[in-house]
Amino acid sequence: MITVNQLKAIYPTLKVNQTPEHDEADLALMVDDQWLSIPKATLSTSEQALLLSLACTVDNEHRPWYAFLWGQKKQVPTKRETSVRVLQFQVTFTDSSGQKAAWLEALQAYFVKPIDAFWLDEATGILIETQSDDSFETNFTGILQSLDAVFYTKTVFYIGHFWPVSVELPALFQMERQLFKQVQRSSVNTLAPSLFQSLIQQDRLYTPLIEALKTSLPTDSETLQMINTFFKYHGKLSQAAKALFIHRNTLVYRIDKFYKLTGFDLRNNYDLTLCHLIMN
Amino acid sequence: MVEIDLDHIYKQYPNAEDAGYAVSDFDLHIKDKEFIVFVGPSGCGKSTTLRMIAGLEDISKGDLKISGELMNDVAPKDRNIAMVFQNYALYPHMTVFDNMAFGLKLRKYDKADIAEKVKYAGEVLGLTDYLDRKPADLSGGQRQRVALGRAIVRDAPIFLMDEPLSNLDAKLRVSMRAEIAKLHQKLKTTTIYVTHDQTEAMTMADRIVVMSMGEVQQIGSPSEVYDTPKNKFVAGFMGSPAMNFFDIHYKDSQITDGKGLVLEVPEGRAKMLNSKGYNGKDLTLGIRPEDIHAEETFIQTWPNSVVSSEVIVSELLGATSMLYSKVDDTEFVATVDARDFHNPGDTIKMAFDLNKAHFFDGETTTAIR
Repeated sequence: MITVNQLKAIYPTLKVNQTPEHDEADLALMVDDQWLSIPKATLSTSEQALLLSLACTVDNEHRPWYAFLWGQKKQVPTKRETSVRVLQFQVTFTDSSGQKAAWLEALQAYFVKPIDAFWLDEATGILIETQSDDSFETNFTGILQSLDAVFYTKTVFYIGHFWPVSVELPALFQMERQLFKQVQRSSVNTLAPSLFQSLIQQDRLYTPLIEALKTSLPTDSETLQMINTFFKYHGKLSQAAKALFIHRNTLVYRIDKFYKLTGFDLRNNYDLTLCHLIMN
Repeated sequence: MVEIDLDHIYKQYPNAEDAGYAVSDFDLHIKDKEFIVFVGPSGCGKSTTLRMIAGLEDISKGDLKISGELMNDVAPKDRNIAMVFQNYALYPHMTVFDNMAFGLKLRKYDKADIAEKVKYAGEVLGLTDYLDRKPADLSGGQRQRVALGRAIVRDAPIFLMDEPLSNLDAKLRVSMRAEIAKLHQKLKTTTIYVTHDQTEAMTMADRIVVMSMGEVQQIGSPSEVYDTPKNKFVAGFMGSPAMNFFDIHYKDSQITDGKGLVLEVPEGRAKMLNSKGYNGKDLTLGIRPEDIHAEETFIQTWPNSVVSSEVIVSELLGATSMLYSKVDDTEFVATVDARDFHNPGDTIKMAFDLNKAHFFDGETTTAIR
């Protein structure tokens, strides 16, 4: 097996890094448990391929971000003062042709500043991203649908919050992981609705109350669709009616009917949100 | 040559036995090179059906055959299908060329082969001059074309498109509609296109499959589903503005809705209704806005189908104008010639062309023919 020193003798521009972060212009690889980077400009295509095949597969334990987020090392893996967001993903592959590496490569290509991305097991993994000006513009639904179209996968995203990189981050991340395990409502999940729903589900003191409410509410798909759509359109009657392919007056009629039946007025934000969460 | 057979397909989700079938008894033969559109409101099962064809959802019951070969248990990648979804994302750092080539590179295609396929897709989509540009330097329409390009380079004989235009603004949607139709004429790829927009279905399809509540309501050419809808749902869903419906009572060649609408049914139609045993029964009358006329010639031609109505709202659209009107308590909309524009508040005479009207059974809502 080639050593770092041997490589350095051949490629004087080789750098040993503390973290897997590197420029796009560099070829990054791991040898002897060390992160290395060599400017691609100094390498031919065949040299790049050869070097990548020499480099070993990186165990998650060797990844500074894994060790940090899973509490194995206290050392913050970056010196820069920055905020990061962890995207958790769960992927169901419809065939067994081993497209995992390619899938992850394709996912990373969508991000401006991915620090690291890796699989945790056969179906789940994470991508860590630094905050940038256009981070909030990321079209997660588009990325998910594009990946699923290419790889015939069924993907679920859970998008974490941007947190400053500090010693508190691992605990916050583990809580986000916990949330992801408990709350999966759609293919793209974000913090606020998941947290809100979890608050309702977790506070055991009120569980019997919530269960009783749940039993008293209608369970038919038409009512559920009406509530979800009305919630999605922020309680705007015309927009929700359009999305439901019904006349605005029909929606008003159904909302009145729901009120008479349950005592919850969906035009009231608290009532709407509560019904939306309980019924889902 | 690719033909797709959906032979009495059903879909039931696990743990949802009580909810019944998400799709039931979907039976369709799709011919080679055909452009089929599944249309219906959200939740009607059209995307689920598409996903079953792609292999992304299991089929609960029934057979799916592609070119005669049973596909129920074939992996999606082996079905040789390319998909385009509603929402798409392009790789922001890659050029148009690389965006289209990336999927092939990951699949370890030969470099020259990739270049050839991307070049071809670029030509088909009119993107040849943009292959070196990055997504940020493209217009919305060009980006959408790149997304289509990623499907074209896969050289698949079947395209599945799931609401590919829904995220675009109205103007772009119209132009992309034409682009996709042109693309189909060039590539002749068997295409299944899912949309909730009846205009897209009418303008693009060779045949339309109208769905509601997991069931196929009607399969036919755009003119068939528009002119001879099988039931009230199809009649109301296809066409914009939608067909006017009136709950009426039919007796002795006369219809009335009890709210001011009284019309004489033409002899031929009355004969048909009588022969089917509808004399003295409650029915639904359906009439398209363009079959209600304000021109003097029509009013003179059908004196027994004329109503005196009040215009509530009028919209001048250039060549035509829409008159939202009412007869006593019965409201309806008429699309009339722009010369027959009337102001709100005007009371005018309008003739219902009952030869073109549709009658639906009051209980089953099935069309009476």
